Amino acid sequence: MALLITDQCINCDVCEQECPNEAITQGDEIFVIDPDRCTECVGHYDRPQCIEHCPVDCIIVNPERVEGPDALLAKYRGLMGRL
Amino acid sequence: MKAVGDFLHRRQDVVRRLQWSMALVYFALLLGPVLAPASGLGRVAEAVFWGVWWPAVILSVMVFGQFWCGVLCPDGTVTECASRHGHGAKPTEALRWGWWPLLAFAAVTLFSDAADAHRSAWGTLAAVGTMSALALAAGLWFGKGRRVWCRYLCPAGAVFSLLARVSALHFKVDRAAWDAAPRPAPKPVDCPLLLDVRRLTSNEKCNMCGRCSGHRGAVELSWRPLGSEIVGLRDDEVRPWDAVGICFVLVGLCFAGFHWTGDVAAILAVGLGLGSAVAASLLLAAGRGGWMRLAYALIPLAGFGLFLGAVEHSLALLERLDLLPWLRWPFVGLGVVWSGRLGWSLVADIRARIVFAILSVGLAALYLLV
Repeated sequence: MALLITDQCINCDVCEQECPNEAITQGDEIFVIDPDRCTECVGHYDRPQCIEHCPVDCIIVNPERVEGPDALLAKYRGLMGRL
Repeated sequence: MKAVGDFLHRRQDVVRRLQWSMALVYFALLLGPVLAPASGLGRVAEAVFWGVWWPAVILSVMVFGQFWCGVLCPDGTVTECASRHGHGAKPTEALRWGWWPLLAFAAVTLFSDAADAHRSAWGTLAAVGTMSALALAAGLWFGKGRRVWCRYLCPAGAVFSLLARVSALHFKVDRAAWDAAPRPAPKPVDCPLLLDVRRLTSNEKCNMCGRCSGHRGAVELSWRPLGSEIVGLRDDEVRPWDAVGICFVLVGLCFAGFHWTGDVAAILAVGLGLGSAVAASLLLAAGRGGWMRLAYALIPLAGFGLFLGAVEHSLALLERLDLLPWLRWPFVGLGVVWSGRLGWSLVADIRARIVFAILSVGLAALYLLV
């Protein structure tokens, strides 16, 4: 599962700096997560760092990108291979 | 004004010292009269809390915004400090419910006026001290060095966030400059109220602490035309709790509380009656689709009415109530003109303008004559 930032986002910049995959960027109104780069921090940390650090709890699981741990790990390996 | 905002940002050490000095004085005046009733501190505390603080803060918020909250308020200082060392929970959906501060303010006002709380040390401790205790508790539970109490719960904030909408100062955000600044930002924007500074257009919850000043070269303290925020309210910024708060609390309950002290039934009856009359007049003027927006135009007049009610107590303490008429006329006059001008801008229909003008003049007469 990739993650999704809801409209409760306060544009505080915190999540962008915490993301190890550089999956978070500033959108037109709020920050957005690139689902192709989001591994929910699998491969880096035990827990998604954006959720851990978000001060307003505005990051949820993206219901349109349901992925299991194996798929997330594969995505992580793919991203590392590209870096 | 930019230099003032930048100073607040740069010299948080000075602000912290100021805040804790204020907190020290506050707790001495809150607890002193209870612990040492014979010390004479009770009279000082009554004068400071109800005679100086309340009217001065009301007026300062209307003119300059909520600097009191961000720079001086002891409850804000305590809740933020507690939040640095507390549980760190994030604000929940239930906590974000917009009616909380208004309901809390109505409850505190009703209690303090019905129990004549300002006349006794224990009453003041119950009315004011309870808020401080709750601010501390909220800080211990919510946020990480944030002011969740001030943003979502503070009862006084319910009124201040209305009054600050008309203030002449605000932190102006240049959205284009913000977006054009190099990414990622060297550090996240520092807003203890958890506001969306990038999209900030309202003074509603801004505590004017100045910590965002200069962020990305896009935020600066600026003057703005009086009432410009009211005239430019977006549809999503017009809120039912604000409109109800203006009619039933800022006008109704506050007016009733100042004049029918000690009688709960009378305060409730007058407050609800006056609030209903104001809401009905707004409905008549602007209809169901526009009455809530038009309610915001009453903020200057209602704010000065609140200020005069508070000043009346100050003058009673000084035994100079003879000065009251001299203060009433200029402030009420200014309130009528200011509110009238805002109402004129918000509704185009001539019938609506006439109804609003009658409402404003009627309210002004009430402030002048009762």
